[in-house]
Amino acid sequence: MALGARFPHSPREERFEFTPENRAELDRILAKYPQKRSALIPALRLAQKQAGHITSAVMQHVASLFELSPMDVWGVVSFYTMLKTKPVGKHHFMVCDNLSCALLGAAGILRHLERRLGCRAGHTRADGKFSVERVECLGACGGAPCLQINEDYFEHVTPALVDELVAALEKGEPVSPVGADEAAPPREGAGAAREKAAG
Amino acid sequence: MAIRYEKIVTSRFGDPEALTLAGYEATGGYQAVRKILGKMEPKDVIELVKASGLRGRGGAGFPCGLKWSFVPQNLNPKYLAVNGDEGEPGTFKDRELMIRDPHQLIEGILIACYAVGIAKAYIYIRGEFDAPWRSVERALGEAYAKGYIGENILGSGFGCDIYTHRGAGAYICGEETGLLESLEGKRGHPRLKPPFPAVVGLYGKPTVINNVETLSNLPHIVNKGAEWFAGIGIDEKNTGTRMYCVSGHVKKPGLYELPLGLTCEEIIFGYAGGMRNGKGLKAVIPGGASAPVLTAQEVIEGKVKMDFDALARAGSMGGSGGVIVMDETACMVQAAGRLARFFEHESCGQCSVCREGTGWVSEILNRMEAGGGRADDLATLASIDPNMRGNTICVLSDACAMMFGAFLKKFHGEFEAHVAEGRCPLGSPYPG
Repeated sequence: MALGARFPHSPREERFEFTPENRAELDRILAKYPQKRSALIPALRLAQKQAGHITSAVMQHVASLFELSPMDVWGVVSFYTMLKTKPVGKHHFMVCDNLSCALLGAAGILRHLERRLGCRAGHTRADGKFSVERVECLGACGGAPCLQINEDYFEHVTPALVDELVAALEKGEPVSPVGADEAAPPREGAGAAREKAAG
Repeated sequence: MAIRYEKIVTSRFGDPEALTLAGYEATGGYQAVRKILGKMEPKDVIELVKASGLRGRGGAGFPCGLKWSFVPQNLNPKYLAVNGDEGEPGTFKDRELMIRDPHQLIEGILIACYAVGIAKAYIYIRGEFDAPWRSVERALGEAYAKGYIGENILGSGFGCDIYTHRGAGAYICGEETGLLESLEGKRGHPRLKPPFPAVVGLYGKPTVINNVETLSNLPHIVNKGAEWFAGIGIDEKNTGTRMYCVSGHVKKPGLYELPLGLTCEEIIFGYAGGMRNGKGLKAVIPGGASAPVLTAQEVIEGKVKMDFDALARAGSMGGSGGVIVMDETACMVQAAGRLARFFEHESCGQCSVCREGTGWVSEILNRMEAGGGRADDLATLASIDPNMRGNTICVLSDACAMMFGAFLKKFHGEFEAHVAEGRCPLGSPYPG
């Protein structure tokens, strides 16, 4: 939890509205719940996906949609680590250094990554391409040390794998997850069958 | 050393087709739902699960059937919240259950909902888990299309909707009532109990909260019977298997589904390949970060068993099944300090005892590790410990106290040496 987090004031002229596509997605999410507020966190995640991070304009727009005060929304935003009030890089590296990963060299992995990217943990590189965050247990301790880049998990990480990942991402090439994630269905397929079934 | 046993919830893990509906059905999938829907009285399903002895696999080990029976039948609507917010350090089983066998979970959910009379279930999936969410979401689509979920399932008259709900990064949302608050769109602040969720839960309605692994066992219990399930394990209170998540200094870290009642030593040396680099065992955390640490002596000479009750007798707990193994190179002050920092980060901040206590413990331990230990630090830690137990809304504070209390008690000399020498005698092997 971010104790003492600061409210991210936006410039006055900044505006936020969901794209028609995301607005439709939000309606589908709202339909799951008997009470509207349950969709608040999914709505914030959707807004973050669209805007890059949660600005005060995002919170004001979401608050109006949910008939809440912006401070109610801020109360939720400041509680959850995945809701970001500052921009992160296009490729956001989350390196676990909880006990199981620490025992198997997480600190070395983090240092190597910071050097390789020229970007310290807690920061975003000047070109906006990369950011690094030290995170608590990701729930992949059998594959320690592990890290996450955006949505994908990478297990049994070595400095050589870090080099490989960074080199590919620097060139704009895609990277594939390593470990249990490999067994999951591809990203584009998820949810499509459900929507088809729901008509 | 290896014994003959049957895998239950991971029985399809080797099969790449298992995560599709066709693959699941081809291996007996949805037979349990066909067996009970409209054919077996819901109360008989509860009795069946009670007779199986199935206990919750999320942390507390509470008997599943008994939990269901606390739900008042006359209050509607009722909800099921599936706890897939796996975040206990050392635990990585629900992630794989959701990725590799999502239909098994869905079938378990349908059985629970039918037994308790629930028409809406939410699968709360940890925010970081994208692949598990994709896998479950696709499986839900397939199951809806085939009529296993929705109205009037298989013509039985019973209907049930199942939805996924994604978190946004907060360990405390794995606590039952923190999860409900989060599912209601709020900060994940645990609720004061009683009332318990079985009576006043999601949206103030009766709610069952079950872990992913617990639910994944249900289709097998329905198909093969309570007696078969109770026959696996060590006694009538410790039945079935557990997914032991072995991590740390072992040769083969990973998931091992094994019957309850094996010793910790058998799991580490018989299944996880033993210690790596020829080093000796020093300590084991047997059930996730909240479970008090065991010494090598307790594991090797004491032959501590890994079922719920044997671990409780040993002063620890089975918790979430996360087994973190540490060899002689590991520093216990550093390990405790690292976990204390985790609890500090994850304290929701409602109770001052927890908010302040976790922070102070983390600060003292990490300062001690960095060479700044003071003569009165150990006495201060000892005085913080009892104040952090039993004085808060949820057990995060207790978990932190149990964690550092056990490290302090069992490795007291190592803590004293840190203070006396003004440095880590082991050279802080795992900085950060």
